[in-house]
Amino acid sequence: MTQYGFFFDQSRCTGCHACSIACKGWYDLPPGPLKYMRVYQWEQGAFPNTRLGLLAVNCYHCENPVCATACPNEAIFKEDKYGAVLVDQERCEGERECWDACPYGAIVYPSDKRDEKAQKCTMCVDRLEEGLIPICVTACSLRALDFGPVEELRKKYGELDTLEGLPDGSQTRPSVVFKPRDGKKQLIPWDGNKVLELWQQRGPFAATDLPPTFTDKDAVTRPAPGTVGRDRLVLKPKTAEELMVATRNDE
Amino acid sequence: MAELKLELEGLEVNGGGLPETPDFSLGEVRRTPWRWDKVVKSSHLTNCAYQQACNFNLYVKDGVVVREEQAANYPRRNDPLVPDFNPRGCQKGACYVHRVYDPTRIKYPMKRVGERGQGKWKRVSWDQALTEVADAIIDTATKEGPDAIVQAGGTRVMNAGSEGAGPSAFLLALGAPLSNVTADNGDEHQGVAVTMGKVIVADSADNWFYSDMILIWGGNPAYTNIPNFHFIAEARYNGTKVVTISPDYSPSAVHADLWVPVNVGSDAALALSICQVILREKLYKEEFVREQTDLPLLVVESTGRFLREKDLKAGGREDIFYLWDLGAGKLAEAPRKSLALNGLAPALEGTYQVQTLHGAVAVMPLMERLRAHLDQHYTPEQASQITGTSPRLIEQLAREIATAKGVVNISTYNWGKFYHGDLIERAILLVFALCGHMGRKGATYSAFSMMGLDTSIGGLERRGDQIILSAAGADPRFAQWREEGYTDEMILYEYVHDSFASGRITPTSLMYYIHGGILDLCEKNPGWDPYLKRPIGDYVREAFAKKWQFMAPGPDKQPRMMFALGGNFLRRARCTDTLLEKFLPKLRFLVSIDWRWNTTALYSDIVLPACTWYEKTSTFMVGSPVQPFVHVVNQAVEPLYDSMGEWKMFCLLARKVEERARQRGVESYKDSNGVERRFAGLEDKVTFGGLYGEDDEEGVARDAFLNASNVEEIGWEEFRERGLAHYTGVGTGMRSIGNACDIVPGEPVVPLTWHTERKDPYPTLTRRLQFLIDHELFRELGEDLPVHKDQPLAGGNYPLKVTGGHARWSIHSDQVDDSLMLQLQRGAPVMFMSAQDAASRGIHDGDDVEVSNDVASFRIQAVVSPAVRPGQVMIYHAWENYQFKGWQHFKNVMASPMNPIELAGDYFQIRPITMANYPGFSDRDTRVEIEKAPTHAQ
Repeated sequence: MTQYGFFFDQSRCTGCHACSIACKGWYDLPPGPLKYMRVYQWEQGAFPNTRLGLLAVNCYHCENPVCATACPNEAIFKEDKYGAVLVDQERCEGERECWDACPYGAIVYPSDKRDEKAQKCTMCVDRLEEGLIPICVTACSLRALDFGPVEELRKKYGELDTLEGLPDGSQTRPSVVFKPRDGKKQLIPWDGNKVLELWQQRGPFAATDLPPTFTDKDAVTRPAPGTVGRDRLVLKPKTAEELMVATRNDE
Repeated sequence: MAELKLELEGLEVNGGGLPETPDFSLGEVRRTPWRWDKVVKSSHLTNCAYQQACNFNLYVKDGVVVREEQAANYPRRNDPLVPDFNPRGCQKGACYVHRVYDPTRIKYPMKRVGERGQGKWKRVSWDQALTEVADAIIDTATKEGPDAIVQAGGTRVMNAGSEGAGPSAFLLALGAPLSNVTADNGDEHQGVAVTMGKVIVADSADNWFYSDMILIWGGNPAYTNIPNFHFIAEARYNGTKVVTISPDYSPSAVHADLWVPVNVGSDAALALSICQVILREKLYKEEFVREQTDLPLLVVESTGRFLREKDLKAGGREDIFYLWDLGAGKLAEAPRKSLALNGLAPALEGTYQVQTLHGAVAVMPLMERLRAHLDQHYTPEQASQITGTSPRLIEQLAREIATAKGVVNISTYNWGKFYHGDLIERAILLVFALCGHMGRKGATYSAFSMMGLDTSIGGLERRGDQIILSAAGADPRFAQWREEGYTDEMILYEYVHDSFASGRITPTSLMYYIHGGILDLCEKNPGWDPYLKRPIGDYVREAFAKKWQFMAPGPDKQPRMMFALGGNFLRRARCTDTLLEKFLPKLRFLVSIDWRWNTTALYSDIVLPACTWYEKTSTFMVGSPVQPFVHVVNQAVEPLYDSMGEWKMFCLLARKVEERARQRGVESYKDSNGVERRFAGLEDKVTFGGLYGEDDEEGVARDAFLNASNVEEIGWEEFRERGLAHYTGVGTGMRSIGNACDIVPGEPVVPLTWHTERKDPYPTLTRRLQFLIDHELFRELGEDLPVHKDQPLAGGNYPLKVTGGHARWSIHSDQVDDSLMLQLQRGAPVMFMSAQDAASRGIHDGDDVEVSNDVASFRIQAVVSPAVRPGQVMIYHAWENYQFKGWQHFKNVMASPMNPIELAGDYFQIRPITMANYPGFSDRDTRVEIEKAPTHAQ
């Protein structure tokens, strides 16, 4: 067996979802939480010192697939040509032990109903058999994804197997290499009082009958907690609805 | 969210005696994987502008397109270090097949049986539908003239070989005006038009790779350039600095090296301040400025106008200008037939005395006047007060731009959507011109990105060289044009000006302003633009009286019948309610042609089902140099239901008009020029004397490709198999010649090299990049030099500014109700607002909010985001009206006041032309207040 795997460059991804849509198209997956490829998005900080997180995550077909170990029905197995981790739909009884075990949230279900069977990324073994590579990789216009024997990927891109917000790879040994997003620093110091002064102005045309935009510098630099909907990465949402929220794009 | 409800009369029960059409279950056909009958190369005939188009493989089985995938067969570039264009294709293209088999498709010809917009429809036969349309045409043409038959053209129609040829040939044969919709989209580049004399100027994405800096200023390529965006990433890896200037932390700022936040609408101040630093620190490229711009031309100190020959000699010309030659120490005529200075050394500073017909006057190079202007108003400290950007950052940016070997910009179609967008563009162009970042590899300013086939189709299309040839033989003006050194480009533009003056092409934005009641709205609210000293109606009357502007039907007539196709004007136009109230009742007959039930279709009287792009054969008449390839659209399956291609539809309609005219005993009608036109022979005109039959849409597309002067010479079949071909030049055609450069397959497209290298003059009054516009209206409005003006209070005095952008999840409204796209978002229209503005109004993410101003109000869901600038709210475009509560669309509040500067005319480069120099809609100046919507009553 040659273990195949993925490469993901976080500094290229813009969150366009071409990978996840192409995957849905190829496998005829309906709209909704059945997402073999999930593109997460979250926002941090306060304007203008803002950070937008983007992360496209599929199954990393781990060398130590803890989902398979966890399955009481031996429904999950590691296929022996490409090292793809696959779910035998005949054997799966929807007990969700695999979901609990996988730290990446790779196991997905059509709904929250308890008897739904587990589904996940198949590494496009059907396409591999035809000499093609996985559809998410060919669909990525940003060229943020790559695919191949994982040893070759490591030679090409390095050994990094985790990103901010992802589990470290020591337990499951995922077949993936990452390139992280670039760091960010604020060039111009953020002066709350100055900001307040600038934002008081509404331009020369504004009538004087409008109240000031803000009166309190803390209100400017530290908005009330809970105002922003999605301020952190939720890699393993617990319900279908939470998954839809975590993997939708509304920057 | 309001749901789209259609009552389709006669469909449920027995189909009204019409034949049944089988329904498809895509899921069922797909169940057996890895078996299909054929793989077809095709593309999507939508207008995704900068990014169009992408070559796709369509997998066809049992007459159904099962799925699609990017073909990714773009050839490598000549330079092995430069990335290629693969794979191309975005998430929308990757699931277009869902649209083909979607319930929102228009399946049959439908006739309205309730009130307009009520949703009551009856299925009719093609024969009945065409008869009713033909009768309306005959009635309108005979009673009101063919100019009362108008087109709400969409951006899609002009794209396509067979899709565009049918309607265009039909309307022209009828004597009805063709619409130019650029400015009612807000896509015009007026600032570029007045400065460069053209708007079509753009480079290819691989050219970005050669630049030192990519300046994303006014665009959001992360949304609008999805297949091209990887070039930005790769250029950055190669050492190019990516700088994004935007009010919000834009999706295109996420991966930038530097993000420069600015106040909304303050970009002209930022640009002019950058210019101030560049002049102050003498960082400009002297040689470029002397040769390519009007900055060395002499202006009269007392008037601020250019010194002209008529100032010096009796009977002198208006369009001969002067330099101060430092070599000879005297006045010299500026060269007009070429930009080459031939040894002249024009001064860029100083004041000189010149003897004129009216005595001695002081003159100075425009550069000197510009310097004083910038020093007086736009030091970084002054600009900082307007832009909210630190003076230190402005200085740093100015130095980096000026010292970079090459800078390219990405601005897409943003500035036209600002009331003062033309000023912003003129100011940014000044930055590029001072630094000489034009017409070199890795150094370009891109404006309207367009590349098209320079080709001939029957009598509809003529290649540019054919136009020039027939002008030489038949146009009495030709000899003088050549005598005056007109380039081919200038001559072609003269013919476009002619088309506007004769009403053959008409700007639809003017039609909506004047016939649609939006101008009345501006007149009732004179306080929106406090800079104006006269009522807006005054400027409009002046513009028509002086023949600066033209429209068909004219201000004294009314539009009576409309073809809406290739677009969705009731979704797109600003002030929707005003149009519904004032414009729609004027139309006695509204026909929509589309493949999906869009808003405009829902308000129409007859709806005709067009087939989708996987069901027709065509090619792209228009594309973009960003990816310099022309693509084919191959029919993969038969048209579904009762749909057909537009070519066939208009051939049949022409035949029906003739038939009905005969039956009714009506022979002829008079057009607006008083010329008698006959109904007989209409079909012959539409089919170019039977050159292409109704079933020969492929022939139209084939000849458009084969007759083109500027594409690779490969056969039609090879083109169909490959799916794409290289552009090999800009040709002499209107669609491309503005790029003014040679194209070598495999090399980057670098526009304007005909000017920078070949020294061809620019098509402007001064024959140079022109920053001083000494037109009387520009002088009256204080815009003769680029300045910053504060945004108007469009919609009233409210604290929040609405901005927006192109949606990521839909090309216009094509995919806006696609279930796969909706599940990537919230599934309903949203408005982004800052955490601070939300908090101070007690609004939380996900709340419904009421947005209102003096014009209208609407309900929408708030997304609260730290990426949004306080004081700004954003709505990405293209939601359908029926996706809003009570069909109250957000465009309703967009007052879109008319900017009188855009009425100017009769000044060489400032005359109406396709895509510029007529008033356009704006929306980024809209002011609103927002409050949390009352929760639903139980």
